[in-house]
Amino acid sequence: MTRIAIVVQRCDESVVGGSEALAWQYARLLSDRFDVEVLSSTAIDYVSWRDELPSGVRLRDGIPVRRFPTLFERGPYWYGLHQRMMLEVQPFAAPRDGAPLAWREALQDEYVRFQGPCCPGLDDWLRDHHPDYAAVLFCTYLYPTTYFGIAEVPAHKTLFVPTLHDEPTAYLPAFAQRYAAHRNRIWLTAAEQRTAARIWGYDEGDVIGMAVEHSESAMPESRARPYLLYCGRIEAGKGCDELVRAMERVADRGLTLVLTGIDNMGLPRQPWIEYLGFVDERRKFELMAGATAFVLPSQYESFSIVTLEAMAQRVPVLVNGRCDVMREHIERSGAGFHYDGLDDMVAKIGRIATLDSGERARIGAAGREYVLANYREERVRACLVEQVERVIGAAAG
Amino acid sequence: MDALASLAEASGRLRTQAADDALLRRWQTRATVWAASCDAAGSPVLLDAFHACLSHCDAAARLLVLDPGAEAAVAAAASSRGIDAHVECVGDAADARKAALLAADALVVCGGGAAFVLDALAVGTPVTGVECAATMDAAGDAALLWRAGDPAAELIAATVERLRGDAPLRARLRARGHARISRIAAPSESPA
Amino acid sequence: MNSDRNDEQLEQVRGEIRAAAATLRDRPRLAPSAPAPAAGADGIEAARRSYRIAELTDPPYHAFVEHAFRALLKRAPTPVEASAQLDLLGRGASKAEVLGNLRWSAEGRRVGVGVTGLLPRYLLAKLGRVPLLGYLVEGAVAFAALPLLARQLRAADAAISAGDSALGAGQKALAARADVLNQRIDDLRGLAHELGLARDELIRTLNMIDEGLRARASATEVALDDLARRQHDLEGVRRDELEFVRRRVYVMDRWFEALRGALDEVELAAGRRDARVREFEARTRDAITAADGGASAARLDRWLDALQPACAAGARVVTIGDDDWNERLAARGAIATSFAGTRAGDGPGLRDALAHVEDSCLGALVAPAFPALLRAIPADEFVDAATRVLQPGGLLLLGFAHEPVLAAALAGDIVPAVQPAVLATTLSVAGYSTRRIDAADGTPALLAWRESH
Repeated sequence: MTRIAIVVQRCDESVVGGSEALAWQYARLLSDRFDVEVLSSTAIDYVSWRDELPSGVRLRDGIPVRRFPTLFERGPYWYGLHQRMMLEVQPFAAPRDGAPLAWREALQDEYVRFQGPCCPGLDDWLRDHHPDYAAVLFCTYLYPTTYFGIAEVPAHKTLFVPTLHDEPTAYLPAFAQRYAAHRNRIWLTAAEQRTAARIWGYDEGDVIGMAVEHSESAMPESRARPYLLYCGRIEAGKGCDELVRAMERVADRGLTLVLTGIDNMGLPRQPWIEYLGFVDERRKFELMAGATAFVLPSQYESFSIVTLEAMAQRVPVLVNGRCDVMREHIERSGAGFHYDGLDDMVAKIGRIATLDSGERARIGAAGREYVLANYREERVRACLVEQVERVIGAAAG
Repeated sequence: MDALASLAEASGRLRTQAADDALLRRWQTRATVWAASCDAAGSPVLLDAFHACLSHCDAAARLLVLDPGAEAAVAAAASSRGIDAHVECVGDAADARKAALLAADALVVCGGGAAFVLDALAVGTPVTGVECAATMDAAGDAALLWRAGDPAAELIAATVERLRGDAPLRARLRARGHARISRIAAPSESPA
Repeated sequence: MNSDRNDEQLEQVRGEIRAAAATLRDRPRLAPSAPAPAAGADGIEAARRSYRIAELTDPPYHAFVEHAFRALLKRAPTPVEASAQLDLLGRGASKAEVLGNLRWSAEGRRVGVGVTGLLPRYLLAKLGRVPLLGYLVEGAVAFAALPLLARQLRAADAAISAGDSALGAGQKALAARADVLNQRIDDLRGLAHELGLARDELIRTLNMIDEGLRARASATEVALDDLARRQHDLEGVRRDELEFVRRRVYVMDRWFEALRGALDEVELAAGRRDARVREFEARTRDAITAADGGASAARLDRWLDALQPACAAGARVVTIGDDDWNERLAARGAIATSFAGTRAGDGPGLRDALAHVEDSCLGALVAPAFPALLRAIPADEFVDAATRVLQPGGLLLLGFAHEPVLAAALAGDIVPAVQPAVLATTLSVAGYSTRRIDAADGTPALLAWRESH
């Protein structure tokens, strides 16, 4: 079989992360047709990038994962650079007048390198061994594994999956410059593609997304009171504080807020809050199927598999309209509502609570249809294979 | 070539070493910043070029001299031109040297050894200046160099000004520099 | 190609830079400016060139010294320098004196920062150092400044009291924290003791493991030696077996050679035998043919007589397999032919030949060696064909000459065995009447005819 590589910053069963899940899913889907090898770092923790896992090749579900040691942990030096970057590199900092930034490219490289994970061994491997691979996929624009690794592989045999957010780091001109020549791109959503056009000035590539689990739960959760469901890390950065404030204002509606995941915020003790902690996949789908609505208050989502999983369970969803990606999902599917601000969120919760069974069924069906039409595993696999084969064909030509 | 390979290896290590953050914050500015490497013979050429920059390109420019041995010559030359307030000697600490390279628009070489050239290529700072054997050995085609016979001062000043405003040119030189360092550090794997 | 294009682009850039350099000096001269940026994180305002004295004297003690260096010398003091200035203050020197010392040092002069109001104060401070005169001057200044001094003393007293209060509160807080810290230190000591015990236990366990590993290593070495010996023995056995096999192969190889030679001789002998057999067959066929000539003559006469009724003028007579007696038949008035090139046994040729004969056109059809003919065509098919081609009253003569049969047998053909009586029955079933007309030499033959309607 033709050999391809997938580069991602972390790869291990214990790792929880959106782009890591994406890379692993792509590796699984492509492994039927290609001889896939994942190239990654030995880090597990995405804050320190500490060298934890053994380096070298290990099999994970039959797929070889080649890990390279990280050279150092993220430290105060980078945090100093990051603080200055957040203040100095604003959306308007890209020099429209042609004047250079205070951040020279070498310093931007330094910022990316010290952000971690810094794996010079991975870069050397790609430089010396890229001829062994017919194509190399790079996942996530932000990390050194992609930023420096992609420079070692000829552009015609790279497939780039940016997983781009509208965040200050993306505005560093070095990213736009580095990835401009790598035109074989896969976007998760059309919203991400538009973000790239706006921030980087180019958007060629195809929207493919990820495969979403769509088996219907056989046992929808049944509870005494109707409930809104949230699944994921519970923290203010994910909008959970706003969600709790909104629920306070509708506490008299007889709704419960059920949350699963790790509580990093400290949920208040309220009779209308029920925190379940970590639940397994089966239970998660049962909770989704029985919910009045699934809520995702986060403003920073690049795809949100969990929301699409909820849609596949025919449950209406309520998302933060300030997130382009989530708003796009709702507008294309008709599978729920998006809100803008706390007051609007409260109003939409009220609206959802009064949906009759016919409306609920219609909305739920629309969501499921949207997921089946766009995010079935067969479709995603076929699109990926087509992309890879196109790259291989062009490279051979 | 072995000496060059071990210098390149040292430069590669500089890439993954933290810079002096206090100095970096002091030198990081939107104004023009030159990092420079010169020997005593080259210092007049360098200072003339920098003076031309101050006079006609950017009055707020700053010159950071990397060679510890050139301090006296540079100080004298700067003082005689009245530009000593814009000139600073970096000293011999590696983290200070890295801070200077990260803040600089270019490394300007007027003599001096290959080490600073390789440092600049490793870190990703464009290299320009006057040709000499050591510089050519180190940089190859990864630097924008001028022959010693050319009117160097204005050329060097104009080159740094061009580098500041030409992102594709910088990208090209940076890519060549990266390839150059990789080739020198692993000579058995590289084509001649 | 890509690198060529890159080189072309670089040459173009060089050209543009040269053009820009040529006109650089023609640009308007820029006004001198301080190097940017201004203050760094170390608090040095590199570009600032003047201060008011109060800015520099306001900070107390350590901060005063640090700030003085940064402002007047544009650098931080070394620890030795800072200590020297603090000593000076401790010995009663005024801040103005310290500032003046820095400002009018060689380094300070080089930096050249201006401080409004410093010079007179500094001169006064220096004058105070002159013996006797300085004492008098300082006394006069102090007397003039007494009210001010009193105010400053009262202010200092108040500040000190406030400071004492704050210090007392601070000390209480520190004492409380010290208690907490002491408690934590005790806890840590306890923990360290437990860790020490655990460490000792761990060391003991590790030693046990180490001993166990050494014992395993020894046992492994012994096992390895044993394996090495066994391997050596096995190799010896293998060598012997290989030698045995090698010899057997050698012997078999010689045997196969001999066998090949013998087979070659057998083939040669078989070839000679075949040649002899072929020669014998050829001679036998010739002899049979020669003998057949005599026997044929005896048959011919008898059978010619039998066919005479059919040999009326113009009657056609066809003979299958033997054209020797066409002349004699012709002499008796018949038009006699044989199927051209047709010999008994040539199936396709015989069928073809019979098919081309018109219906009811023959006066007689003769097959001298009928059994041999049956190799080519079944009897009933032949009888049907004969019935078709014979005229009403035509005669069918079927002989049983043995020479062609014998010759065919010698050639390896199988000739069906047919008895005249069986053939007669077959003919009578087909509507023929028959009678035997055996030749004088005993060769059987049947004459058959159909009664005309």
